[in-house]
Amino acid sequence: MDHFGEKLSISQVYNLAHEFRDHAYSYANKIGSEEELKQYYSLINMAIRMFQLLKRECTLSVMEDSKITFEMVELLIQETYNFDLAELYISSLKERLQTHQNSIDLVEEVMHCEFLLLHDLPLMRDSKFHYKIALRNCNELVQYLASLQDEIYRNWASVFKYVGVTLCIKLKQCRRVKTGFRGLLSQCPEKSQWKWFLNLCYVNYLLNERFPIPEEALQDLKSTELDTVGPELYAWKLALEMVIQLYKDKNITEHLNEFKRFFDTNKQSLVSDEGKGCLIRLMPRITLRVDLPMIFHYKELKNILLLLQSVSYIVNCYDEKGNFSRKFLPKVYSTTQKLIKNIAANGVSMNELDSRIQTYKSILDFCEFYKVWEEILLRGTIATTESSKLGPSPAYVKLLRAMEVQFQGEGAVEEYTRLAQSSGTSSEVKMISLLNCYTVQAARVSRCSGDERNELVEQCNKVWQQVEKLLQETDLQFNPIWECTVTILWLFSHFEPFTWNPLPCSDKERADYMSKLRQFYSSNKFAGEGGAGDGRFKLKKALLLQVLVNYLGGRMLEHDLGEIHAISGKCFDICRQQGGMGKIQYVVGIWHLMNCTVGMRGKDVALTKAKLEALVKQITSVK
Amino acid sequence: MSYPGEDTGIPRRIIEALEDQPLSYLIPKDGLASLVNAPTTVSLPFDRTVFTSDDDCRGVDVNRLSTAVSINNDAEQTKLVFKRPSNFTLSTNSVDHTPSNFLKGLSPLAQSVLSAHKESFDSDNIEKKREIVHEVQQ
Repeated sequence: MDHFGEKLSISQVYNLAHEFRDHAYSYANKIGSEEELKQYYSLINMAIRMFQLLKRECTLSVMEDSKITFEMVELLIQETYNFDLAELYISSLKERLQTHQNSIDLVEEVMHCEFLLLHDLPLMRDSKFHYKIALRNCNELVQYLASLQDEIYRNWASVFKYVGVTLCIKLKQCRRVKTGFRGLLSQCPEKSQWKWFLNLCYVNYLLNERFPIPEEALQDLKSTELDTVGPELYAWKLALEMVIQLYKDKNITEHLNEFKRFFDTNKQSLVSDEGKGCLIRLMPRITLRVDLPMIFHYKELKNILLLLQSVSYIVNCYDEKGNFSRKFLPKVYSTTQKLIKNIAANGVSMNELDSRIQTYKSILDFCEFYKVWEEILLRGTIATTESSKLGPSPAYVKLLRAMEVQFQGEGAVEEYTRLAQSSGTSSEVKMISLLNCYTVQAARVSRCSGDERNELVEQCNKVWQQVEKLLQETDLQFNPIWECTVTILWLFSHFEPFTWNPLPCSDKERADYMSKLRQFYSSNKFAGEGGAGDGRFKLKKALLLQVLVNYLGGRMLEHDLGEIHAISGKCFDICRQQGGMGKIQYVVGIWHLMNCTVGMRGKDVALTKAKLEALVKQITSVK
Repeated sequence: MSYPGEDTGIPRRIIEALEDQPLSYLIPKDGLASLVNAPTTVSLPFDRTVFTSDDDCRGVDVNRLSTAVSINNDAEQTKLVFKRPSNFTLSTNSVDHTPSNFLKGLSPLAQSVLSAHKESFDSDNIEKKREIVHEVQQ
């Protein structure tokens, strides 16, 4: 070809490599056919070949060699499975750097090699084997760097300690992750962007695993300064605080307002910096680039917020039209579909876009899952879902199936037990399984005859031990809904008016649970000054739970006849608002009838009787 | 005194009434925190610039792109195996998909280099992760 009669200059070839790469990236979001996929990769292939050509044909300075190798290796890691080749290139560059006479000036280049070897490559290889090797090498490097005096080495040591923690997360070594983060945080300069970034990683990790978050980490999170960390990391901080509230089933209004105020002044920079990520500066020439596309990008962030809001309101879902989640879950769904369709190229690799779509897809799965849950609350049944759908996690699908079996009156003890024992189940699903399983077994104790009693009681106790252990280990203990559920289930199964066969217990246990009940009851009582008392015990408006607390409190703690009557009336009434609560409404109604009779309220007695007759008809006709 | 439902099997004790009523207000929320930080990418930028000097007289013969097979460069002979995306909806998009020509917009130089050295590029070079793992294990 005529063009190549003469040689190209070195910078022409280098620019060609960039042109091929950037051109491919600019089309990364438009790939819709096999042909286009091939075109994309033929461009990437050419970019890699250009870099290789430069390395092979030219005499490069050590700096030039570094730059070219890093750019090429990035392509190899991101776009291909040729990880060994990438490793080979980095290792030989590292050797060249270390034997270079002015190696002291090349710290940044050497550290860059290490970062690729210990961070980027293992994460892409994603195997336990490679994580373990990388972790060992990383620890050695940290030790070596820590033995050097200069400030720059101290900072690099900090970077690689962070890399080590990342590897431990991948290896699921929870204890080492926690001590790793704590050690790292204690050595960071106070009020620095780096420290706050690490704290955000730490808190996000604890939330992902549902571990309790230490007070110090919460304080650090709260003290995160917008001016120091920049709007991206600050948005992450706000999102995490929102998730913390959500996991505690607490009100999120204040947090939404905080977001609103934040957007008032920072929306523009989130929109215009989209795709650039956030730069974290430890010191001159040590900078990390971080990107969390779901949080740093304005549209994605708004979508995630709406999802979190919807989930926060689901528990109130007993009005088909009025509930927030009914309106906004479909909106999150359609927005997410649009985001997938209009995903911007923004100069990143197709493979990076691909992993973003993975997250979008799990948002869609969450939307569908919570729509099923709304139906459970509205109608007391599980809408049959397409079995092909996996849901946000396999455990969620199994949980729905077990609940379906329980709704059908078949107990589901086996299903719940299997879920609770499986190592892959999250602590939250485990807890739901254990509590439902306990209810079924305690009901069986109540109905049982003498000979099977011992065995059934034994089973109940076993489940309860697991409940208590799990509560201690997880962040569920900070959520009043869980705490209250544990309290009322224990009392229901240990006291006469609630079961025919109370389980044995010690005086201390009884006193502990009674005092908790007192707190929950006084904070959530229907009549009188309901809602007074300690805010910690205030429950969200979960209808079934509210009824159960008031029924229990009304029967055990209340003495005033008028008050008791008002509460039983409200309990009886409110049950109708939620689907599938017939039997509970019946038990509550009988209590109300008794209160009406004792109070000699003739009219109420007749009215309640009539309502109960109708309810009995309804329940028996279903069976 | 009689009461409604007395002679039916409807449970009278609350614990029994709960037997076929899962505690549906316990709504699982696991995984929502991971939506916040997945995927996170952390990288180390290397922003030194190279090849900026105009009087750099080093030249490269691009024709050697395909011809050069030097013995000490085994690495470069390695066949590159590209990643097949798992979420890009290749098939579902195709209904209303207007194929674009990715090569449009490339500079004349890039176009001629590409057409002169385009390797026979087929789908075999683009594989799913599982296939790769399998291959390595064999």
